[in-house]
Amino acid sequence: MPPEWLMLAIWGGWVALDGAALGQFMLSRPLVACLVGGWIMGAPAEVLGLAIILEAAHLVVLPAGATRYPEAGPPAAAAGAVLAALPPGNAALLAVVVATLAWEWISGRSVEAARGFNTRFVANAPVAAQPARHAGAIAVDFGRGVVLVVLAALSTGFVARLTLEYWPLGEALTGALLTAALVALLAASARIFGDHTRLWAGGLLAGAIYLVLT
Amino acid sequence: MSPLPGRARRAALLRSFAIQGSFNFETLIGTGFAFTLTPLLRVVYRDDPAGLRRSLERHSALFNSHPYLATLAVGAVARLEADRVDPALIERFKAGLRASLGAIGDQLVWKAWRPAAAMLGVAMLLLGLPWWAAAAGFLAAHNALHLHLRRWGLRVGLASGLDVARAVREAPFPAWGRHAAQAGAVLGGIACAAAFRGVGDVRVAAVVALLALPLGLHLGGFTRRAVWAALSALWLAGLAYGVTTASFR
Repeated sequence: MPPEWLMLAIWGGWVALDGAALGQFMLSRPLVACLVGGWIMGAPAEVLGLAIILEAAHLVVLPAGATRYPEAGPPAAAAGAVLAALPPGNAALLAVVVATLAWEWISGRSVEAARGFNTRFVANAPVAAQPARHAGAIAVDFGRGVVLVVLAALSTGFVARLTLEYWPLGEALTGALLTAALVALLAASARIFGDHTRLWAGGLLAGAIYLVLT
Repeated sequence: MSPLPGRARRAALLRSFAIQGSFNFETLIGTGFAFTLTPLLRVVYRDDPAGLRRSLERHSALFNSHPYLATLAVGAVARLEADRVDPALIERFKAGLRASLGAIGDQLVWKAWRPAAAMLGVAMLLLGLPWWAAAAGFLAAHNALHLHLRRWGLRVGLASGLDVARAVREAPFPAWGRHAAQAGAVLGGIACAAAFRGVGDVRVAAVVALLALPLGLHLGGFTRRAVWAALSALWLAGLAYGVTTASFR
């Protein structure tokens, strides 16, 4: 097995843990998970757009209590690795974004399944056995992340290659679609921060002035 | 009460990073709570193994909290156990803490600080800074609060015991949350403008701005689903068209 795939598998397991079970240092955020996935494949600069889009899409996700939510870490890691390994272009980027957002939903369902397993394996165990079972649950979660990142990478890679072969739209139009998606997602952030729309608009104006001047 | 030794406190703090390791639908973080509390309870019940067992059994029951503020509960409960407070009172105390620690953490961390830190990283990338600098900037900004909360929580919980509610009321969390939200809003606007960088055609930029901006502002949290649905539909349609035209060549 190429060392990059082993590193990716370990990274996928690690970000799965970081999402909730161990650490929560936010290495599991798409911004970090995707960029490191791209770095593992030797081309982190090629996945900047992907990392930005995935992070913008995940801003509205709130992991409050025991609610259901998409899980970004392993799919984003896989996405970064896949895109970094492909020829640069917006067709591949579009395919990877679509596939990864789907995988985030699947990954979220696997979190639910893991929590159901924990109910039987840990919560219902004798108290004396719970510390070891607690550690066991963490190990199982790591394995879940490894499986997810491998499956996500394989399937997303397939989808991206298929798209590269048959995608009918040009680079510019595909890029415009992705820019529109990103702008919509970032505009949604105005609602995340409560009633600070004026500050958000001020930031928009400042950013626009900076773009014009530079 | 003699202070719990530093070694036990450090062990509890370290274990707190795994407090959600066995999150489940029955006890939520209850099993993780007992796991985190164990080094402190081992000191409290060093001469009473049966008491330790009963205590762990009590504290592995249902409990929930924001993970970064759970150490506040861990420290306070350890203090109450060391003071030999009635277990029934400790359970009522924990039940009261559950809702407040969750709500405070959600408001401060998930809804303000973390998205603001993420916006910092996104804005840095969009403005052309190196990828590692953006990732490091986001991680540093987020974890400055994260690590402070865990350490603060354990220290204040151990010191305050039942009086922990006053410590929480006096903590500057609402102000921090407000400032983080303000910073996040500004950074979000900057990032939104910077997203147009690299769009060479002014007409394209204008169309994108006119359509995408109002859509995101209006839909808010539903934008993610809308964007995914739209991109998926376009991708499927484009691929179907591409495959079909390739078949007929």
